[in-house]
Amino acid sequence: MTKQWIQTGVVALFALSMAACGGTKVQRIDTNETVDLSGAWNDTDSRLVSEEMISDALARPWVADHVRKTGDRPAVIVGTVRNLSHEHINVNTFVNDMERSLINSGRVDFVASAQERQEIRDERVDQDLNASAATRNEAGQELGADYMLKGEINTIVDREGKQQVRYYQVDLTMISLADNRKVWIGQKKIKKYVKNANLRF
Amino acid sequence: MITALLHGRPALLGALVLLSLSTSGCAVHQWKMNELSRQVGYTDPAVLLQQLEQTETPDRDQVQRWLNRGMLHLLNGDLAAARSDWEQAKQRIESLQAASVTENVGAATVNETFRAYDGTPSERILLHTLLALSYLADGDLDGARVEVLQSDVMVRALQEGEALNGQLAIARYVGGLVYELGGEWDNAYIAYQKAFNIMQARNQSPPSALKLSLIRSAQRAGRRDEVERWYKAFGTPSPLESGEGELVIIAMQGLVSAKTQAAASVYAPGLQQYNFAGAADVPRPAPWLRAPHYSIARPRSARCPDGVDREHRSLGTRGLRGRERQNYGSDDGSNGR
Repeated sequence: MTKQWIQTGVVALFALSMAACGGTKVQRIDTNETVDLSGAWNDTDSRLVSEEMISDALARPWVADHVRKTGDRPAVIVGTVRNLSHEHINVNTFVNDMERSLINSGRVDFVASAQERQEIRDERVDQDLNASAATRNEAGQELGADYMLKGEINTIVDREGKQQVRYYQVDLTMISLADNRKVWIGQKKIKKYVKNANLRF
Repeated sequence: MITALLHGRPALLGALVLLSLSTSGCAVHQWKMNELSRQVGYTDPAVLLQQLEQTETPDRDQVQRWLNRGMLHLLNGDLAAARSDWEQAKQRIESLQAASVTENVGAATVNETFRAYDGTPSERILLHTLLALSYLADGDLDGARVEVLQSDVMVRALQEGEALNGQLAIARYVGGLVYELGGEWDNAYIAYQKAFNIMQARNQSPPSALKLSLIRSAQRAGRRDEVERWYKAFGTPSPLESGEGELVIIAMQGLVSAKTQAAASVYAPGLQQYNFAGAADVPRPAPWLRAPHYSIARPRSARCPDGVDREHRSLGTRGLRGRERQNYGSDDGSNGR
C-alpha cells in the first residue's frame, strides 16, 4: 500500500512539473472590454471615472454662467490630482481623457499645465533667438486660466483573509482663479468585492 | 524499500532522477546567492549585479532574486531599477499567498525547497518600507503614501494570526514621516504611536527621534491630553527656534545577521531510534558591515552553504525557511511561512 502511494506520488509530481511548462500567450482584445484580473484599479475604472466626470461637468451650469458673464469660453488648467489611494494609480490617464473630451466638446479651453508650460516657454525663448521675425511667437501672450481643476483619489480597503472590499472615491473640483469659488464638484465612487483564490496550481 | 520499489521500473527511476536534478539545481542557486551576499560590502555592487544576472533562478525563487537584485540596484544608486524589482517581488508575493497544490505535494514528498519563496511577514512589511523610502528619495510623496497604506493593510492581515506578526517599528515610523510630510498630523501621530507600541511590546526603548515625533505630532494634531502624557513620560523637549528645521536621516546599518540552524535529537520510543525533531535559528554575527547605509534582503541565501542546513532540507524539515533577525530589533515570530 505504501509503495503504491509513493509510486503514485512521484509519477503525479513528475507529470505536474512537466505540465507547468508552457509558452507566453498573447491575445488582442477590445480596449473597451472589461478584464478584471487582480481587483486593482485598471483601465476600465479610469474610463468609467472620466466618462462620468465629463458628462457631469458639461451638464452643470458653470460653463454657461461663465460664457454669459464674459462672452468667452472658460479656460481651465489642470492642477494637482493627488493619488491618496492604496494603489499606484496613473491619474494622468483619466485626467487626459477628461481634457480631451472637454476640449473636443468645444465649450471649454484648456491651457498647458505648469510642467508643460516650461517646455513651451523654453521653446519660445529659443524662437526669440533663432526663428525669423515673421514666425516668431512673442512672450507675454499666454492665455490665463479662469479655473483650476484639482482633485484626489481616496480608497478604503477592508480585508479579511482572502476577501476584501475596495472602495474608491474620486473627487474633482473646479475652482475659480478669480475668487476661489468652487464652481463644480464631481464625484465618482467605485466599490469592488475581491475574493482571492485559496489554491493555485 | 525505495530500491525495491524502483527495481524494474525505469520510468519511475527516470522521474525520480529528474526530480533530484531539479532539487539540486535549487541547491546550486542557493549556494550562488549566498556567495553573492557574502561579497556585499567588499565588492562593487555593479559587479555583483552582473554576477547575479548570470545566475539562473528557478521560478519558485524569483521573489528572492527580485528582492536581492533590487537591493543591489539600490546600492548601485539606481532607484528606479530597485523599485521596479521590488514592485515585481511585491506582486508575485501577493499572487503566492494562495496555497499551491503542486508545491505542497513536492514539499511533502521530496523537500521544502519545492515551495515558492514568498518572504517572511517582516520581509513583506520591510519591502513596503523600502519602496516608500525609494519614492521619498525621488520626491514622490504620494507614491510613498501608497506604500504606507499597503503596509498597513498587510499588517492588519498578518495580525489575524498573531499581534506582533511581521510588525516593524521602522515601518510605522516611516509611515509617520510620510504622513507628517503631507501635513496629515493625526495620521502621523497614530503611526508614531504604533511604532512606540511595537517597541514597547518588544521591551525596546524608543529612540529620541520617535519621542520627539510623538510629542510634535500630538501637538500639531491638537491632542492635548496625549501631549501631557508624553511630556510626563519623556520630559519637555526644547522647541525649534524660528527658522530652524529638522533633518531626518535614515541610515541602514550593515546586513542582517546570517543564521545557522541547530538540530535537536529526541528519542522516539515507537521508532526505537533517535530522530530529528526540530531546529532553531541561531543568529550569527555578520562580519560584513562595510556598507553602513544599506541593508540587504537575504531571505534564504544565509542558509545554503551551511552543511547542517542542507542536511535539514534533505530531510524535508518544515518551518526552516528564510527567517532572519532584523538588526533593528524586531522579529515576526513566524515559522518562516
